[in-house]
Amino acid sequence: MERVGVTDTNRAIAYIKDALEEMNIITETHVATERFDITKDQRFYDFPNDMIKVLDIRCKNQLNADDEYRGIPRMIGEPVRKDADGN
Amino acid sequence: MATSKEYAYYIKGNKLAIVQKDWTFSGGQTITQPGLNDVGQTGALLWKSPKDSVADGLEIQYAYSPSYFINETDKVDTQIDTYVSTGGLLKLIDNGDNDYSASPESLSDGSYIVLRSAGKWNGLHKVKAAGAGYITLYTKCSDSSTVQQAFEETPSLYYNINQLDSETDELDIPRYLANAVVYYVKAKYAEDAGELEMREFFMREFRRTAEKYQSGKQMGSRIIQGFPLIR
Repeated sequence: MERVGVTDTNRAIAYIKDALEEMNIITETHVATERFDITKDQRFYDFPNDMIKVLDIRCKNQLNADDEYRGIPRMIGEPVRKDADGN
Repeated sequence: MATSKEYAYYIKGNKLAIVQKDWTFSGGQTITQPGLNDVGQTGALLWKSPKDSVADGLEIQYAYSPSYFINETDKVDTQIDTYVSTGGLLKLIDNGDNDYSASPESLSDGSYIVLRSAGKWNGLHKVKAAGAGYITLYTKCSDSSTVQQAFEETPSLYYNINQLDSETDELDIPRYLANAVVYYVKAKYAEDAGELEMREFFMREFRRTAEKYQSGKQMGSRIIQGFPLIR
């Protein structure tokens, strides 16, 4: 705060938190990995609430039979066949 | 033995959509010999919602903001079983009735916790109340169901947390990136003061510093190869 020359602590901390988020979009400083169960016929899954930027999405047994997790490709469009709940 | 599968994803709103390629072709065709009807528009029908349930089948690697610091990673509780929405707030339930207001957790109104392996509830949360078998958080939860929902994994609840709320706190980032934070805060103050040129200058310096840090981790030059159709 001295380097910016401000005395309003709460406002400075709010901006610092914004800076940390903005910075993690450009360069990742803190990375986490989270696993979810895949459910039969369920297409949509929630992202973790604290996520700022997706780095990789992997699935178990993606193009392998060794239980390895490998990155999966992103589709440009949506598949014709909709989810059972109409999404 | 596990079988090979083929998944893909797309993003819709704040949801991640997972689809799986269904290799069961009609007419006895194999993977290496698709029929003519399996390509083009008809081929698009091969992508469906996942065909099977797979425990821990999906892994998301992501970046998060270090606006908190876990002081001691061994100060962790793994007894939380389920969660429920109470009055629009998230309530964590421990069916073993551990008292979270007592030592060692000693949680009370205003305490902070961090959840890991908690699916979409990962991250920092502020405690509203704690007692025997429950922790109520200030985190919004709009689930209309009053039925307790189980976590897919056993969540880790870290309770010795230093939340960024004082000017004496230290940021958990490299020294070089602290310069970028200074530029960002200066830019926001300049914006508040209506000094837009100064704001642009500091934001440019912020981005330049962050990008320099990022490129400093890569050895050699970055090479992009084009092809003749690029103009």
